[in-house]
Amino acid sequence: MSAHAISITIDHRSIQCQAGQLIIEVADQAGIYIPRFCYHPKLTVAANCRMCLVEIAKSPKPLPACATPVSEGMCVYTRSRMALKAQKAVMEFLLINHPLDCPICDQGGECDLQDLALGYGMAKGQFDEAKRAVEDENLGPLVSTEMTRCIHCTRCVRFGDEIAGMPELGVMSRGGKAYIGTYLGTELRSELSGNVIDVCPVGALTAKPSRFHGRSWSFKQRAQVARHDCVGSHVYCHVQSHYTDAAHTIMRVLPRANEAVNEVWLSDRDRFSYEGLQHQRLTLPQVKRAGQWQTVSWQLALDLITDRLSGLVQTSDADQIAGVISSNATLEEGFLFQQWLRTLGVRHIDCRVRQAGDTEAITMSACPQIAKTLPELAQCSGCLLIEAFPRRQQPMLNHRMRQAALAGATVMALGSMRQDANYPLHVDHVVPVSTLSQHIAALVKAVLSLKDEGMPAVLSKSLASLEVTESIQAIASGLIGQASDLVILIGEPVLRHPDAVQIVAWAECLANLLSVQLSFLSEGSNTAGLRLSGCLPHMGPGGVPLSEAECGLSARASFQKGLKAYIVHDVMVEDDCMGAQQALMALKQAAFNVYISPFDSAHAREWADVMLPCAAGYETSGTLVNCCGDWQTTSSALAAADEVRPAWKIYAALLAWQQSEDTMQFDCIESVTQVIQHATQAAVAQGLHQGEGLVPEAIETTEPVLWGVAHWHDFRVDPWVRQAPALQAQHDDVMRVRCNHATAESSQILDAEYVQIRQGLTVGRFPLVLDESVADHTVIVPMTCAEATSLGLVTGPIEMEACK
Amino acid sequence: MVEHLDTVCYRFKSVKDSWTLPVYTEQGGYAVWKEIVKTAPAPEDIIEKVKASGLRGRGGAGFPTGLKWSFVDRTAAGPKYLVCNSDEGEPGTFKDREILLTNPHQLIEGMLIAAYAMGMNVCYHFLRGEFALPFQRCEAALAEARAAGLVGEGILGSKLNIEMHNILGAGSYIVGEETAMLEALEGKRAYPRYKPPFPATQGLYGQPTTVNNTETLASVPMILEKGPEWFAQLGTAKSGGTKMFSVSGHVCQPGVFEVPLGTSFQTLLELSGGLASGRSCLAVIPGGTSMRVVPGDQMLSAEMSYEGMEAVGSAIGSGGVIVMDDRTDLAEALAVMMQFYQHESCGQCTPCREGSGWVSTLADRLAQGLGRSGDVDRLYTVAQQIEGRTICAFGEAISWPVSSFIKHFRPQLEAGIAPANQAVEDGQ
Repeated sequence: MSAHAISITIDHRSIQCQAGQLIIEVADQAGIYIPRFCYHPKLTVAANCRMCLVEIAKSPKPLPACATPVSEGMCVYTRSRMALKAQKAVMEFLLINHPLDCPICDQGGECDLQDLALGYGMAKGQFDEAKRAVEDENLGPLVSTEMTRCIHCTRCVRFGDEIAGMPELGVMSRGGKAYIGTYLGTELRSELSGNVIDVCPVGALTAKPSRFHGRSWSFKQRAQVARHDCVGSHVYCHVQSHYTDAAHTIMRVLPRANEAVNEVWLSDRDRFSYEGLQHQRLTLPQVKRAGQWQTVSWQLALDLITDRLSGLVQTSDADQIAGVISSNATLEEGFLFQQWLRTLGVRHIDCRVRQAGDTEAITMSACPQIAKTLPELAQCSGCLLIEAFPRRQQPMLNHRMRQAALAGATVMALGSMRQDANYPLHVDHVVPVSTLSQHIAALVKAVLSLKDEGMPAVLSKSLASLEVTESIQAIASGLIGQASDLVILIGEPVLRHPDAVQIVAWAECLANLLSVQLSFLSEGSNTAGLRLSGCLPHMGPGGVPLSEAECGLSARASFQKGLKAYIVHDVMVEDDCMGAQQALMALKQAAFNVYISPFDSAHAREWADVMLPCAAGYETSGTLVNCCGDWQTTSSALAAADEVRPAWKIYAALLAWQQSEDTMQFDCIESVTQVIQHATQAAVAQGLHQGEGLVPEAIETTEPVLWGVAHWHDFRVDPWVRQAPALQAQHDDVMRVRCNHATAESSQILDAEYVQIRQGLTVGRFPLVLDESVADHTVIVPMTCAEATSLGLVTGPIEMEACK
Repeated sequence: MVEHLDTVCYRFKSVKDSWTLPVYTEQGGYAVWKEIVKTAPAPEDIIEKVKASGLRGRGGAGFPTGLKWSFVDRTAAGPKYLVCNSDEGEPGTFKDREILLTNPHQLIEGMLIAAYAMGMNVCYHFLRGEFALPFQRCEAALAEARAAGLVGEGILGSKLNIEMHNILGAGSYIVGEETAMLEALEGKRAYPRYKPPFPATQGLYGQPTTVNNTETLASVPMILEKGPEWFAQLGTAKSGGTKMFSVSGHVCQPGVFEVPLGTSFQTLLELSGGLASGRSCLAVIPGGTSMRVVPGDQMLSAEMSYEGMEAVGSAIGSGGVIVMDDRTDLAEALAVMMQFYQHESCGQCTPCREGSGWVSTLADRLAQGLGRSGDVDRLYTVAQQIEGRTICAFGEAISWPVSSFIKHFRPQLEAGIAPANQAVEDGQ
């Protein structure tokens, strides 16, 4: 329908709107509220609740405002006798079988039915019969059911079909016996399942972890940004405000609508991770004296750090010190962390703890960002995923990919595992992880031959012996003919790959051929921000490249070398580092280590000399830069426990100490943000972010080798989410090694229940599961467990045998 | 004897093996279709003829067929679909089954002509789940027609392609609602769709679609063979042609009778053997249980036509005539009907999902003589609250019988209020 402006009247008000809009949309825009239950702006129209019936002049029957398009001169009456009569009749029907016990319902106080019953319900109904009761189903640890309260609006069903792409809920039976269920009795498995709680207008589906923990009206609502992926979904933290003993507790997290980021949705990880903030917290500054941990004052702890580090700089030199910071730290924390250390003379500063090889060259040339905004991504015409698995790792980005795919985009994937996609893929090519770079190079070759342009001599030599398989050919033809709308997405596992530089170099070559910019997904919530704050060994604040003399070692290199002191910010080395075993050894042999984190760790207690409790995610103000390059600044949602300090204040104090100043240079967080902003703007103005292109090396087809891939499950990515009980209960099978049948056969472990993985001198034993989505010669090894720590895997060659 | 009895759809009632192709062809069948394939007349002319015949939808709503056909945009891109609705589920109706059993080829011919007239290439014939034998007959007939080159690709050597499929339903009343049928054909739950958009613009798989009743489509070959005027003149000025009535209830010889529209109810009653001796006609539901009930005395002077039934406050509906003599417990009759509707409500929209059960509970209570004070009024109010507020016409199907029963037979229903409860009311 052509969108042309027309004029209608609603309740005698003349309103301009577009032909084809629905009455309810027009009324919403004009601020005229029409009661509704089944209508949801992000879902298809069902028109089944009938609550939005309105009178329309010349229509003998009231019509649903959610399903009736406007037409020129239409006269709508939302509160006429006919409309109100219809709305009240519907309300009576909805209430006859709904329990009228709002005080014992978790939804009470924020329930659409309760609210509307106040306006449209009768004090006393005519219904005098027995009410319907519906059996509850166990939908898993996240979503609680009380299906007797269901009003059959089917929002949750439509959410599963249309948004999650996983029809987990449906309507069973019919008439008055109709009920919502899974039929199979399975638990919800979608990565977006928690959204059914939000779309449910009544108390039928509620959040299990926060159920009956508080009333909505007693919560304070604070805007925050989620911290577990590079999308940075907008959230509201609901904080208990009445009771002092609960003042430090987030009661629940809900999505905060933002069309540019997460629309109105939220991934389960972002929604339920808040629980993790209540567990295993560091609450007091402590120092180790004669092997015993003692609680000390902040003054004493900071003095000790300053003294020991200054002493170390004087006796040996600052190159014996390294700083390692989590990729979830804020821009400001990162900036002050590196500023303090660099003032001290430290060069080895890094936020990349999961690398197998050096990736400085990549971070030099590319900002870890996607080349489009998320709404643009949803409209792209084609996409190639290179070792990117957004469904679980960046769910809200995957939601945009799904939108694009359903709108007809050609989505293709090349990686070491099959995509667990909830949309149709054009090609999903799985290759042994050790051969990733050569397959991308082969793709370049295929594209070049399809483009009908003479192959540049340099490339022609590099690619001469490379074999182009049928699947690669299919991807190439899928890429050719895509306009500039094409997106080439490099997943964060690429940067953990030993060949990362070559993979990206060839991908860059491919992108140049197709005239598109490469897009990067990154680890944690702020990899992009930490680059700008200078938390890389080769980059200073603003993302300015450092001179050779100023460049330091990467985190992994500094652990390999074994220095004398390490400052570790919010990294649980045993779980979060690639090559954890080596890192732990380096830490244990060092003379002085500082561990600054919201979370306690048994391993840290062994290797650290000072432990400082810092505020976690939502407890601190700060800025995160997401994968689109948006700077998202928020204020802390709640105060941390008494002795816990925001990390930026800790580093600001240490910096002031170092500079021997009486007053702190950075006394408010805004002043920190501004400094980074200026540095970044200056760097952009000077073109320092452009970098130089990578040079792809000659490559030839090689035989694949058995490789282990260090894999962080989506609910195990950071210390915070690992402590969240409901999320951990949701996935109980995460600690298995996965490989396909062929790999198992060639490694002679087909019948093994447990396998032993050996890399160099270290070993780990894991339960095995055969998984045909994994490529040949590829073994997915789960990180974040004791066996994984003792193995200390670095993505690369391994040996695998059955355990006796 | 009634003139023109069983002349259109039910004309082979007594012909042996009438459902086979040789017999049908011998009787002059497929002549119209062969002529159309040979001469390729303008489709608009066919639609005009159907309009001139006065043929109206025989499924219940009585919408003029020619007009419905003219709504389809023949130039629309992509496939267009014809759907034949043989999901005869309306209580009291069993006339389409007779067509399917005795005259499947005439239906196939009618579908082919309709498809040709509307520029459609695919026909789906949807039969209700219980129609095992009719389905077998239709499958056999379709196979014969296909083998004879009448259906399929390159029909009779021409460039015409019309594909046809028989689909057996899974057993539900609401799938007979045309948009629910389209959902079912798409493999989904049979939930009626909200209209607009109407099937003529966005029907099956979002493409232009026409859904016609079995009897409607089966009438078309005869209209074209004998001319629209012949058909129109069989009936009254406002109701052209004949109509099949399935008469059941308290009559001596229940059955299906195809009579010209305008035939008196008296005649229909005689055809079905009349009432048992000594009995009088208490009430009649003339068009399936969804239509309003009519008191017997009014019916006895009424004529069976669209306007005739309107005059007595009901409608011809699907032609399912249910006769109730003076032995009938009307409260129980209503309760049985309401049990049916609460069982068959699809549960999609609130008024029907919640209201159908409530209405049924109230009607049951009255039938059992356990009614509470005010139950009849409550029954009326609840039914009124459903009517006109649902996605499909099921709301009316619940409400019309209730309101008409209360209108005409209130005392019989109030008799169901338990004496104890009555005393409370009277004792005030």
